[in-house]
Formats: sequence, structure tokens, C-alpha cells
Amino acid sequence: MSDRNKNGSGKKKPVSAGNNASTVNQSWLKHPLVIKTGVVLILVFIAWLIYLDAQVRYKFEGKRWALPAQVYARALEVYDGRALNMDNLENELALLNYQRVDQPSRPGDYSVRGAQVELVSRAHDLPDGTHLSRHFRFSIRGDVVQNLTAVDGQNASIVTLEPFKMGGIYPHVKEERLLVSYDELPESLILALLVTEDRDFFSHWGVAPLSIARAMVANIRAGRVVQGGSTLTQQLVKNFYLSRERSIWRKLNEAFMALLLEVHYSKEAILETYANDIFLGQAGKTAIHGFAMASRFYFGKDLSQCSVGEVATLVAMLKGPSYFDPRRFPERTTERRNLILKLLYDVDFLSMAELQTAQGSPLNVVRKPSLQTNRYPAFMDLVKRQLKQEYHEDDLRTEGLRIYTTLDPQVQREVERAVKEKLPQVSKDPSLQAAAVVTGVGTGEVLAMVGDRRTRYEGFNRALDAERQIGSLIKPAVYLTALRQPDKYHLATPLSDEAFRLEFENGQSWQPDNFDHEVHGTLPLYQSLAKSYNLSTARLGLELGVEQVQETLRLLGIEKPTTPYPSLFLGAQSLTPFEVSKFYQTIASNGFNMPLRGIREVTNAQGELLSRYPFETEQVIEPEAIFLLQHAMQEVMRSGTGKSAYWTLPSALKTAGKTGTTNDNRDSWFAGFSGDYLGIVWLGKDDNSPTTLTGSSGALKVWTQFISRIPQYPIASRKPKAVDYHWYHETDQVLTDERCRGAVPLPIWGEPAGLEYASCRRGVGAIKEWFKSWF
Amino acid sequence: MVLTRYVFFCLLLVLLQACSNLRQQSIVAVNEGGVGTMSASSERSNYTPTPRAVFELLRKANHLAAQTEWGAALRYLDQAQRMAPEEAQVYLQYGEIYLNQNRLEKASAMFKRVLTLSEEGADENETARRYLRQLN
Repeated sequence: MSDRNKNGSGKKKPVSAGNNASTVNQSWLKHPLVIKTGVVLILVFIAWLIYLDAQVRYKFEGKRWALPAQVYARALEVYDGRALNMDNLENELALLNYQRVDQPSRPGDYSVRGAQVELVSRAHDLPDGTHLSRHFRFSIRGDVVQNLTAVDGQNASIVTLEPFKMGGIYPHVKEERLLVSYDELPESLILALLVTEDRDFFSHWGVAPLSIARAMVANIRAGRVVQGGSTLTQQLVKNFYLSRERSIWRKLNEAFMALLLEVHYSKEAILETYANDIFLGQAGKTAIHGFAMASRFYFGKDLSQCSVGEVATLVAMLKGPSYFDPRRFPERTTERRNLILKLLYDVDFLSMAELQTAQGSPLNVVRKPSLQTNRYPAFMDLVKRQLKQEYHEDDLRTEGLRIYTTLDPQVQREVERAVKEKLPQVSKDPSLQAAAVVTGVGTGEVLAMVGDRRTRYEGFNRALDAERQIGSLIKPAVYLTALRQPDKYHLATPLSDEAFRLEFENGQSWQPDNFDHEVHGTLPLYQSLAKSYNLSTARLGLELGVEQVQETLRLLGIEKPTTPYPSLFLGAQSLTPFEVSKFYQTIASNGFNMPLRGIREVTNAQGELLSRYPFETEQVIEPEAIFLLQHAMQEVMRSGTGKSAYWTLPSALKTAGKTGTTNDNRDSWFAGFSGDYLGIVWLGKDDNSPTTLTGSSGALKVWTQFISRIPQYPIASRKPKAVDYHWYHETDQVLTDERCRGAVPLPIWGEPAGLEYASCRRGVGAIKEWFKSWF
Repeated sequence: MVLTRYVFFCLLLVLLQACSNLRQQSIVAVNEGGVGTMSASSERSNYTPTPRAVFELLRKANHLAAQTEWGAALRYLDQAQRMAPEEAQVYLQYGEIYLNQNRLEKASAMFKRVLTLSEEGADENETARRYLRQLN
């Protein structure tokens, strides 16, 4: 017996059985191993809490989501005088999910009665500010908007519709999300969430033990899971931080993280994050997250514009977006929606009349929008390339940038249709490929682009990357070089279209030939271009010199090295369709170089302007020379290789252009412009094998189709003061009198050097001329 | 009988000559159509090519420029330029803003554009010439 059992007198202290047990317990707790283990567990628990805390704060305060960049087409502006036809307007409204109704009253409604259109636009934000919803009317007569008036009485000189979202630049995990702040959440949404998911949200600390207990009782009674006990905070933790793994460990993590979240952040911040994070559907490979995105996806409108029934539908989907998909399962979704509406009535948010109205209304889901990223893959490619010059790839994919482009959905639509419809008509060969670029003549904006005959195919972009020999497409540069020297050349300068052979010092030779293998004698310069004769063009080029023509190409916007040999004059030069656009853009815009651009502005996710790509221009070619060249290129369309376009185009639509065909018909090109649009079309095969097409029989047909379907203005270049019209007799190749039979007005810069004058024939000569004109 | 045929023949010649003259006049009209010529496709009417909305944008841009809010003014001009790329006043205002910002090359380019889009003697043409003389 130890000394501890003795009292002070040395007598033994009596020891009872109970005393023995508590002493044993106390001694067990005081056991060093137990104490050490307890301390270690506490330390581990604290460390674990610190780790969870760090996780919670890191993600919540950092970049919460990888937000894809949103890419928008140009916003349609409606104003008196705008070229627009009814078909294009309705197509644009369909893209924006506008509904055709009898009496437009809500944003997104429109009506058409004959030529009269009435429309209620949706409110939206653009880089220049917020555009409120507008109710307005206008008519379309002769493909022009007229009589734009506001129904609400406000000024309506221009009404801008929201831009069509044409795609995005996505992170590797494909999610679509639009962020909203807590203040932007509709009251009906907040209340619906609370009554459905977490009534005590604003009073608990992230975990609600009573709710858990309540749910357990309900589930035990039902024999299955009928009620969840998780709070909104726990649901957010599960979705935002953790996996869907069902385990005690995950539940523990979830509970403590919820507590930590509540410690650090306000209820509003938590609810806002929940509303932006929640999964609400799938569109192909893209997941729909957040109520704001879901409202666009299901109802085609902003969350702020959703009715209480539509909000209730979104909340109804929380139980299972696939099970309660309003498009696939409207009946069960309606039933769940009505249940939620009843709950809103129970808390006095809705009156009985409002409840009945909402429960009786249809779901109002719109046609499923396409969220594929490659709707216009060729154009998106251009946008990405231009953005990568200023932004990191990672920022493009994750920062939620908003990119406002120059793409015109109507022009793009017509170009795609023309490619799809015309290619099978011009050739049965399925390997024939196509590329097209359309730009605004006066703006330099890229309005449409196609890089493959399968216009939605996201692969090799021929518009930007297919370097092909351009053939006769280069000839305007040769003739422009000449026309810039008015003391030596003018449109009526006689050119010799006779065969020749050029011998080089290295023993090689060059012997060009015409397409028809014929020679055509002497003819005026403009006709040589109109008929695209090779011999006369080559002779002219040799007079001018290769370097001069190269310099003209450089001025026109071709930055890459060009062929330093005479074969350059006939198009032995490879360019992409986009590069061809650059040099024809300068011709079409009267000698002013303007950088082609596919983007107007870039903002961040909050709408703050980051980049602006303004209009820029620089005069590089004399307007007199360009005016003459444009006249000659119009002759191409009137009487030359492009004239078949007027089997389709109206005669009053003045256009100018140039066909291009390379050796063995490997490439079929056409470049043409009106007053508004410049279009470049290329047809050919990727393996560079011959086709059966010339520029006229192939590319021109595609160009003609889309140009004929877009309302536009004809060419109307202002005549420079130094240019005068002279009457020119085409057959005799002399200047003559006004209204002389066989004479045409010809613009000439300066004095018409080298041209003789002959008066109109009278008497027998006139009669002979008259007889000749019948044959 | 012979006389009748001769008279008829002469009348026919005169008629054909008149038709030929009409054709010549139409060529002149088409070829010298200046700014504002509308396409006759799809029954379009002869509408003034510069929409009135453009002038409203120009007024707004002018107002902002007067308050030295260059960025906002340029944005209105970009919109006006898209709507009416052939309107000389747009480029005149561009040039004046760039001049105020001391971006002389850009200003010069815009004034040159004014000259190609306006008649000699017109107000904007004269103003642009005056600015170009100063820049040179």
C-alpha cells in the first residue's frame, strides 16, 4: 500500500468501491498518453479549420469563376434612311428571340403589318451606356427605313437593339455564366429561394441543426429522402468548393466551411454567389450556371425582366435541372413552379388573383438558343487573332470580357447562303472549297467571313490562311500604276495586245498568252482591263516596271514581299482572301487606306471600357487616279468579264469589280464592290488541282448572289475637279463630239495626250455607221 | 408611190436618230450620277443619303467636344461615320478633335478626306483647306 493512502496520523484512510472508480477515471484522463493525444487532436482540428478557412477565403475573395469572354455581333441601329429589308429585319429579330405578336406591349415583342413595323426593344447595356427599352414604329419601303417614330413620345432618331451574342471564348471547362449583383436579384427570386430552400437563411449561422432534424424526421416517416436539411450556404459550399461525393467526411467539411463562410461574409454576398454559381441546365457541352444566364437561356430575356412565374420556374429547376427541364418536361415543371408560387402566396408575396394568373400562365420558354462557340468560326478566328495582340490567352478565356465586333449577322447569313447554294451549282466536285470576306467600303469594318464551304466548320480558315495565286485580280494594281501618271497614261491610251516573248539574261524566257489564245490588236486601256487581256497588261507592266507596280501594291496595303518578276503583272503572287480585301479596300474607298478591323470595343465584365478600335484612314493614292480606275472596273461589270452579274443585279446598282482566274483554273476569284460593300470570293481546291471554273463562272456567281440580297447603295464617287469627261469613240478610238453615235463619255485626268479628234460622221458616212450599229 | 416610200424612209431615219440620242443622254445621266444616286433595286425611292440622325450625332459630338470630352465625342463620330461614310462633316469634326488633341497626322488625314467628299467652295471644303494650310 502506498504512502498516499495514509492520513496525517498514519492511519489508513478507508477506501470505498466508488472512490476507486472515479479515481481510476480521473487517472485515465490524466494519463500522459491521453493528454498528448487530446492535444494533438485539438491541434489537428485547429490546423484543419485554418486550412478550411484559407480555402474558403481564397476562392471567395479571388477569381471565383473562369468567366468566358462574351462576343457580340454589331447592334442593329434603326434610323430613317437605313438600308434594310423586311426579310433581314425579321431574321435579326429571330436571332434576338423577339416574338411576333398582334399588339406589341412587352420588351421583345414586335408586329408587322404590310410595310409597317412596331417593336418594343429590350433594355441593354453597350459600351456607350445603357439603352432603355423603347416602343417605336417605322416603315420599310424600297428597302429603306422611313418614318421612325416613338410610341412613347420620346425622341427617336436612332433606336439601337441589343447585339446578338454570337459566341464566346471559353475556358477549358465550358460554362456559361452572366454575373449579377445582389441588388440586381429580383425580390421574387430571393423570396422564392428562401421559402423553397432555406427559410431561416437570414438567421442561421450557415448550418441549421433544427432543419437537419426536421428533415431527418420527414425522411424517416416517408421512408425515403423527401426533404433536405442543407442550408443555402451549405449548398453553395458543396457546389462551389466540394464534390458531390456522399460521405461523412465531405458533410463535415461542408458544415464547417459553411460556418466559416458565414463568419467572414455577409448574407447578401453569400446569396449573390449562390445565385451566380448554381447549375441550371446543359446546352450541349456547355453548362448553364447562374440565374441570369438561365433566364436568357430559357426565356430569352434579362433576369430583371422575368415575371414571377418565370422566376418560380427557375427556382423550380433547382431540384434537378434535367428532371425539371421546362422544354423537355413542361408538365412536371409547371407543377413544381405552381407549388413555389403557392409558397409565395402563403408568405403574402402574391395575392390570390396574382397567384391564379401566374399559375394559369404558360411557361414562356423560348426556342433553345444555340450556345455553340463556333457559330461563325471564321470570323471568331479573326477576332481572337486581333485580341491576342493585346490580351493574354488566359485573360480572354477567364476574365468575362465583352467583345463588341463588327460582324453583321444579315450580311454573314447571305454570304453563307450564297456559298452553300452556289457551290453545288457551279461544280459537282465535293472537294471544291470556298472563302469569302465582306467589308464596309466606307468604314473598313469586316462584316462577314467564311473560311470553308461548311460554314460552321471550325478548322482551317481559308479566308485568313489560304495563300493562293491571285491571277488577274492583280491587274487593277498594274493599271493604277499607269493611271497615276496622267502625263503618260489615261483610260483611252492605246495598248497593244500582241504576242511577245521576253528573254532573260539567265536564258529563261517568258511568253504570256491570253485566256482565249487570241490577240486583239490595239485597244484602249480601259477595255484591256475590262476584258482582262494578258498580253496588253504584260506589255503595260513592262513599260511601267516591276518595282513601280510593287510600290503600288504596297501603297494599297500589301505588306508582304511581292514577286519581283514580270509574272507579277499577271498575278503570280500568292495572297489570302483577307489580304486581297486589304488592297481592294483602298481602291473601293477612293484611295484611302483604312485598317480592316473586326472589333469595335472591348469592356470588362462590369462594362468598363478597356479598348476601343476607332475609324482610321490615310490617303495613299490620288483620288483622280482612283476615280479613273473605278470607272474602268465598272466597265468590267458593264461589258467585261463581270457582266454576267447583271443577269441578276438591277442595272441601276452600279458596281465595280475584277475577276481572277489562275493557270489551269486552279483558282477562281472575284473582287467587287458597290457603294456600301466590298466582297472578295475565292473558290478552289486545297490540293491546288485544277477546277473547271473561271472567275466569271465560279466566284462571281457566289458574289452576285449575296450582293443581290443585301439592300445597299450604288457606287457614287464624286468626280475630282481635275478630271473631265470627254466623248470617246470606242471603235475608232478617237475623241469626238457629244452624242455622236458610238461615242461614250470617258473621264480623263488632265489633257488627253496622244488622242486624235474626229468630228461626227455626216451624210453617207453617218448612214453607213447607222447600218453598222444594227450588227 | 416612190415618193411615198422615200418620205416614209426619211421619217424612219429621223425616228431612229431621235431614239439614238435618247440612249446617249441616258449614258451621260448614269455615268455622271453624283452622290445621292439611289439603287432602283426592289423599288427603292430616291432618299437623301445622309440620314438626319447623323446630324443629331454630330451635334452631340460637337457639344461634348466643346466640353473637351474627347473620348465620348469620338464615339459619336464613329457611330455617325458608320451611318454615313460619305458625309464630309463627320471627317471635319474628327479632324478638329484630333487637332485639339495635337494628333496632327490624324487630323490632316481627316481634312484630306473632307476635300474628296465635298465640292470646292462648300463650307466644309473651305474649312478643311484652311486647316490643311495651317498644318503645312
